[in-house]
Amino acid sequence: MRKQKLKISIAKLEDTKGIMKFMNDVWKKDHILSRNKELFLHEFQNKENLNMIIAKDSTNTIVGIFGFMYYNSCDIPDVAGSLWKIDEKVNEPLLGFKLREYFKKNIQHNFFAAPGANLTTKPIYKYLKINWNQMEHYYFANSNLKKFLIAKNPLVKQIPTLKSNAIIKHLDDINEIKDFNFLENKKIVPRKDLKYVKNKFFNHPIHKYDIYTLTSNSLIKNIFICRTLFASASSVYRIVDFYGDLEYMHEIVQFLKLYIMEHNHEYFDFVSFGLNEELLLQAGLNKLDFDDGETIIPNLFEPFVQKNSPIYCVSDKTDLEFRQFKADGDQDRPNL
Amino acid sequence: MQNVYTNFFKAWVSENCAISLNEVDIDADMFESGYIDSIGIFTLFILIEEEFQIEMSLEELEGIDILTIKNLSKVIEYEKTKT
Repeated sequence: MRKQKLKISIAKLEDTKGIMKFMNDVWKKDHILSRNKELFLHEFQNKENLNMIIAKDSTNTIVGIFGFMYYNSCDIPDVAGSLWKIDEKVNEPLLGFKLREYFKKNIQHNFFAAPGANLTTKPIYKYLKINWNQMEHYYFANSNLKKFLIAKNPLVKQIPTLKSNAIIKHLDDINEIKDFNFLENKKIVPRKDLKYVKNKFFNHPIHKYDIYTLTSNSLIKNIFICRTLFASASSVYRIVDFYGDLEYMHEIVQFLKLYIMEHNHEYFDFVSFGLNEELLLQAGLNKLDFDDGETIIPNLFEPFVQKNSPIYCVSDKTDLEFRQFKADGDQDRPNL
Repeated sequence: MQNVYTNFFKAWVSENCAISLNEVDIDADMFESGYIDSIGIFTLFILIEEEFQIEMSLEELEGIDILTIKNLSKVIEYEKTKT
């Protein structure tokens, strides 16, 4: 039998300091979430609580955390898992599992999905009968550039210019998408809503996101969210979230092609799961082959790692259309 | 007397920890002895499910010490008698 009784509960706002200390001591020394309270609260505060399950030992020291975030504000929302870490020194090998079980029983949710699962945790997800998938990494390289400092040997394609009635516009006011029916397609999970977009992208305390709408016949058909990333005295552009179907993907690729040329970005990329590959390729994107040994389209920028890095996503089993994007869960949060 | 399950787990630990069979202590807490870590225990549970067709429900096993090879083998033996 284990030697000490641990108390598992939903974290309160007053646990913030203890969790930030845990982040520093157990997760990663000097991690931004251990020193930037504004970012920490942006990620986890939920009124007087934190979206986190914690375990405390008999001295009230935090010895394990399981973070989560809501995709929407429905009565029974979809949720993403976030930070999941236990202090191995506490000598309780099932603590991580117990934290997750507490979450499952006490945080009512419709669907669970998150990108960024560490490959070493695959046995836990397999045991829990949770789906495990590798996300795809699509990209489009800037044909104006002769030298790439971030990417290596990207496939550079030319795509024809299209005539289209679609209009793509940078969004400056969240109210411009208040009438967009986020939950219209009930077959897609996780379901996200306006509040999620506003909090995650418009109100982000550190990252600056570009939010675009694609309108056709006066109707918003797509919303997509991008961010510029910098490394090696160069830059790239990344689609981190996407709403709507793929009918206008040609137009979006065309638009972003011109954007990266104008801003001298090496490429734009799109890390996703659950989208129709054929339609994305037809629209002009390249799919990164993680094993080809030639092309490198880096995924990690904080810190920058110049190699291909697959992202794994986990989800409840579902008959619905499961989609996952780079900014889902906590994959696009600041990390330094 | 050691049962077939004890020998199975001993062999598994021996292989995973690169130690001889004689060195595997079936009374030792596998976690404290460093035979498994907090992820490894789930690798072991999956192996048990696949090898012995027994679902390792941690809810049902709450309060039972399954972290020694001896106890774990007894649990598997008991579960197998039920099937």
